[in-house]
Amino acid sequence: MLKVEEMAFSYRRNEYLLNKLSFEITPGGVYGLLGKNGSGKSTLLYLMTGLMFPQIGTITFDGTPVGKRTPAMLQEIYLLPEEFDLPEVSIETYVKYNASFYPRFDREQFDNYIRIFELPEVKKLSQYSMGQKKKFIVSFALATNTRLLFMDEPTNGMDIPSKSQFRKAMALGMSDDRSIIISTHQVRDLENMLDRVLVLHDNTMMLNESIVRIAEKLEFVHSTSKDDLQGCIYSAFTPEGFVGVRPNTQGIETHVDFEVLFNALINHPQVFSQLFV
Amino acid sequence: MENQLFSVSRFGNYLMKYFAEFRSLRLQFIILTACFTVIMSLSGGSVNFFSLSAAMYIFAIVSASSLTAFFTPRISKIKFLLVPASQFEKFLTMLVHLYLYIPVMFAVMLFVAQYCAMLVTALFTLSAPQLAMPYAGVSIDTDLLGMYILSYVEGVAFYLMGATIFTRHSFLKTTGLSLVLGFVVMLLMLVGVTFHALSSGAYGQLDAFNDVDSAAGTFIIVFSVLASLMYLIIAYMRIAEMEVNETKK
Repeated sequence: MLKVEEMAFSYRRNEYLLNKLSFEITPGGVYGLLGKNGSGKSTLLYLMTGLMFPQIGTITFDGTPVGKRTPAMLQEIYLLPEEFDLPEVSIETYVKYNASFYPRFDREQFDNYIRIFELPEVKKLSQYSMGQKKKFIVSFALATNTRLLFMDEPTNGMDIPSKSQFRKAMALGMSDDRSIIISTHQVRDLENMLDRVLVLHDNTMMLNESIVRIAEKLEFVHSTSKDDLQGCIYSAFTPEGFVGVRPNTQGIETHVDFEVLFNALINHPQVFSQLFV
Repeated sequence: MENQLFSVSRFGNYLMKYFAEFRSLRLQFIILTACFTVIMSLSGGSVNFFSLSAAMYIFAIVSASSLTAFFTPRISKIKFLLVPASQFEKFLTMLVHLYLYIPVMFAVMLFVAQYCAMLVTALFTLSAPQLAMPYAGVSIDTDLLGMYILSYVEGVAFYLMGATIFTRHSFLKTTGLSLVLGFVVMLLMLVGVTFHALSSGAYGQLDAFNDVDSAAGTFIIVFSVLASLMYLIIAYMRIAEMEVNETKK
């Protein structure tokens, strides 16, 4: 569906923020895009939506370069940026004038998401708080049923109950022909939602693996005893006890802890490159 | 497959979205109507061609400059670029706003202002309203109309181009650029006229300037049309190739 081939991008001459990235987004999955601040997550989202053009390589959607921003492509892509503004119009007006651009927009689904997020009826969208605006735009984005949905820090500004509402809405919004790419620092908010993890580090895509394969290859340890951390690539002490990750030699399937995975990866990239060949 | 450059239904949808979400348009109409009601009340229900054309011209170029709001800040640019319509349709909508909506809005505004002024005058003089034909108080100088239309088209195109180049203080920067360009054009014309006078052996005679009068008229028209087209093409290209820069707000 979306293909990134040997892509490189820089803001300054010869200083590549993203270098030689190659990967594919296939239909039917939730992708988590993880990386440190300034690692190029938002830039990558903008590149994949045709808002920026790579200096080297190509990014295509169904064979068409995304930079062309053709209407046929744009009606299959929805980007929910981290910051956004909504016009001073009513919900009805917003839906009336924006939904017509998305051929698979489903009004029933939209109303359902609004109910899930418990959004009150307002005369104008400007009356919503920042968190409510975010929930409104997430509802609209999910209801467009575009084949690609990009979300940049979607849970920022949402309160604790809203995060479980978000997970519920996301589960309803998924389908076999749709892929959702979520860029976030709030990895806990995405637990049990992701099918695949993409990690940007040191200007490259350091990890691009399915959760199933990560669980096959790695064993995540949570223990109150330090003795249980033997053989761990990475370990840390948290208020809940010790956490760590080690190669899964026993064939035990454990719950993937994204925080531990991310820290282990950026501290010991060579181990990961050997494990995930 | 639907045409990716232009589709009537898609353009119609974008046009409706544009005007539905451009809330300040209604406010602008109300303010202008109020201003012209006052002007017409004070001037006995009439408005001269100069004031009217100057007001519309200034309003149009300021509106053209304010379209930079679609390109800055970054969130507005993202919203603008990702609406599933072609960049050509988005550009065409801006032209509809500047070349069709504004003149029509002025026509409607004058109509409303004329009758409002009539009522205001009647109220203040405690007399019966003096009904008149629509636009009775509007004088149009037909000799200057053609030149006015030409300068309106060129001015708006120039300021629209400016809005795509200068995203901050667009009006001021475009005005500065227009002054510089105007000075250069004047200088070139002066050089041209002097050269013409010298080559025809008429140096020092006032007739040398009169000789070029008729040619100058045609030249100005052709120049204005070509310049307007060039400004619009530059503006369109700037929009079509616009990028979002993550490092700038």
